[in-house]
Amino acid sequence: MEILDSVLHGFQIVLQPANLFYCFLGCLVGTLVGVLPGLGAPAAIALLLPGTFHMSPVSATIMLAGIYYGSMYGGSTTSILVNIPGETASVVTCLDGYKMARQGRAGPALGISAFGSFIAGTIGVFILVFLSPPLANLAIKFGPPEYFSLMILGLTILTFLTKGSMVKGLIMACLGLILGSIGTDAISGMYRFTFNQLILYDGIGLVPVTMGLFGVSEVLLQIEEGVKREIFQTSFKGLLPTFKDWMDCKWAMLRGTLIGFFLGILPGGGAVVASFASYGLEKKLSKHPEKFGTGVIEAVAGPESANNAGSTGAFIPLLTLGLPSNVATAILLGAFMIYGLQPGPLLIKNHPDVFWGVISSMYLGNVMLLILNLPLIGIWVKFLKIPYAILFPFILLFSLIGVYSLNNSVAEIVIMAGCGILGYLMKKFDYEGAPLILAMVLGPMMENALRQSLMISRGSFLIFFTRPISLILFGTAIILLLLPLLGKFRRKITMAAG
Amino acid sequence: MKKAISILTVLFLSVGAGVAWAVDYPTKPITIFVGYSAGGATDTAARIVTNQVNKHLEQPMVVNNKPGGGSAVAADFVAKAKPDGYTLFNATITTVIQTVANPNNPFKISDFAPIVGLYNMPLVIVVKGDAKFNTIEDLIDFAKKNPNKLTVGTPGVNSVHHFGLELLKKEAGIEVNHIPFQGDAPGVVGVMGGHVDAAFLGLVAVAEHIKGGTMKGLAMTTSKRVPQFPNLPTMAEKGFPKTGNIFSWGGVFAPSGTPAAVLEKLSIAYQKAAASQEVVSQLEKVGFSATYMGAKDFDHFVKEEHKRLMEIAQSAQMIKK
Repeated sequence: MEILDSVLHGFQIVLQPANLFYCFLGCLVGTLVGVLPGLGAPAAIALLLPGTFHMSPVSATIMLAGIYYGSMYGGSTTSILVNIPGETASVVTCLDGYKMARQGRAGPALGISAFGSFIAGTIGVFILVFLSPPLANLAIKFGPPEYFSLMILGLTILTFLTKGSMVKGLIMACLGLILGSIGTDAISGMYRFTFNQLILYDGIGLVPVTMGLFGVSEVLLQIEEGVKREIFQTSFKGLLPTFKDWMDCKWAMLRGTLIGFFLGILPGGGAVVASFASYGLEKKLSKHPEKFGTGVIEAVAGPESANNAGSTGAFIPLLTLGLPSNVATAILLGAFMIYGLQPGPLLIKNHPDVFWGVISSMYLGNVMLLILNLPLIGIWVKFLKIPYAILFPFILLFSLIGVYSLNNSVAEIVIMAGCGILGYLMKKFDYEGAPLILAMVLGPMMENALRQSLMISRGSFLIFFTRPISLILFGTAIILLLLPLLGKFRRKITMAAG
Repeated sequence: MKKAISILTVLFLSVGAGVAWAVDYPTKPITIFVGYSAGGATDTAARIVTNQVNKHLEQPMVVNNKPGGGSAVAADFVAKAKPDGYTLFNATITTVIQTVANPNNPFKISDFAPIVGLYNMPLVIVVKGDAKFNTIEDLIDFAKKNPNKLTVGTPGVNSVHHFGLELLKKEAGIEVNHIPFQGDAPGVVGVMGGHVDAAFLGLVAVAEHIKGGTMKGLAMTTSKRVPQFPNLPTMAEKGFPKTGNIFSWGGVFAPSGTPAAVLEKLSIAYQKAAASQEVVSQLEKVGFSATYMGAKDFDHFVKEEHKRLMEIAQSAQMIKK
């Protein structure tokens, strides 16, 4: 019951008018930056940080946390409406969400994202309240071997991701791996494929590639194909998901929440993989996997729940271990320190006000975000009625600003433009972008984890099978890979017998 | 030809107007470039100091983030900028390391005129809270008896922590298995999860874990103990003076060739800012100790640092061809 007392104490703090206001402000700003492609929570938090120095630490952290999880709500909006992922986690939402919009179902797609995010966020907060310490202990059990096995599992998802030709999917994955290997090698410090260009030392940024491949290419394609606007304009009957949509999505949301939350607590940044993993899983479990990629609502609900649950999960290593799992939480960590709070094992003891105040605010924040986002759906859908001649330049302009705002780097704009042309060609010749992005994310993480593991084990591959978590993950990957083969084998036997 | 004319023009102008120009400085806003994204530790430190410096200059000084190449993009930009005092660089030890470890590095340390040294952060050698090692001697003994067996993590290859580890290996005469992680957070997990036996990490990343008992601090790489941890011994007092003298630091560089009068004016402004209690306490909050160094001392320090790191890199074969 001690926990309940603490949570009630937390609510007492949040329900003070000032804190309630800052929670709302954070959620509002978060929604806005989430909607703008490229511009994300890190930039918004860094920008607002100096203004929070004179606020009380509790109010400030409540607001900044609101920006962070609030931005996850908005991230799907542009993916669904115009095929531009607001962040890497929303790439998967493009696959089916945009198709839904083109079928005149932008409303339900946006609605299910908002509800999915709400449900995931709320469940996430409950897990956060009751299971923080044991989950934090689980998170630190993830060393290089566990990450490697997790990445192997992630790569097997790749095989579910493609809907067309497997060969083309693999070509894209290879291209992703190659792009991902550019930059400074993290183990030896060697420069790979950098051609002595400073700008390549850090590798190629994921956001410019994503926005080019998905967003810019889509604009190019639409210009070429001309006006197919009737599909957007015909039926906006239901702005909200129907009862059937809900039934289709309920398990997807729940599974997405669990996957997202679990991968979100890993401080090594497993969260990007979460939305891909959720998509892969839903396709695997679906009764109609062939329809994935054509505008299936559970393919939107699952990944959207996953990335929201992931952002909640990331608070566990942040608050209890002082470990950031992505850029946004790293900036939050810095903010905490400026306020004189040291996230870590002592935070609950030394600053219970902050710890429980922030967690309770996340519960209220999720409610606020839902109320904020539902009426917005109608407005967003109206955006699709804007003539393309006006809409396209704005999409390109916002993509440009978004990409430039990341690193103030003109080179990244060039990369986005280049990837836009590449993406256009890929669409023309039926190559998909998603395997490329996933491989580009997983490749470097997997390589480093493999090499670190082998350095720790002094060259023995047994390290992946002697550690329980690693063994389970590796085993699951192998089973997943072998299952289709087994099915074929059995069919052959029955055919031979029959 | 065009280039020659412009060089000549600049020469004439600077000779002719040298004195008057310097007195006029600054007549427009000054930009200080940070090589990392807004919101990070280096950026925060730069902003804390810049806020104070602004009180002592007639024109505003603005922080501009130019991330990329582990701050090398910004460093290169400032190294090649017009040396007029309007473009400055928030340098760290990483800048010196880049000129040492990368033979193709586009800028040299001589491209800069150090203005002021501002802060530093000690490194700590840590082990897990329930590890069998209680002192740095335990750790070194084990490593001596089991060459190459002890796994030691750092936040990355060619980080200052990596240099610290190489120094320790040399000074203590041990061979260990270096595991470079990607940043402080994975390094902390490495120690707490028992994935590595020990690690070199920045004080700020491990402070709370040492206080909370989830990690043991064995020694700090400084010559003097820090007030925050009076019981944490230093490597210097343990008899390793070289390992006891390596730490992260930050300061401000101008492009070399910046007129002396301009540097002088900036130096004075920085000196006043660094002396303010506000700067000292704010830097402390984000994990840095304010350690002011004037232009002359800092210039000497940076050159010595370059020489010393070069020696370590050469003997440990850290230079990438």
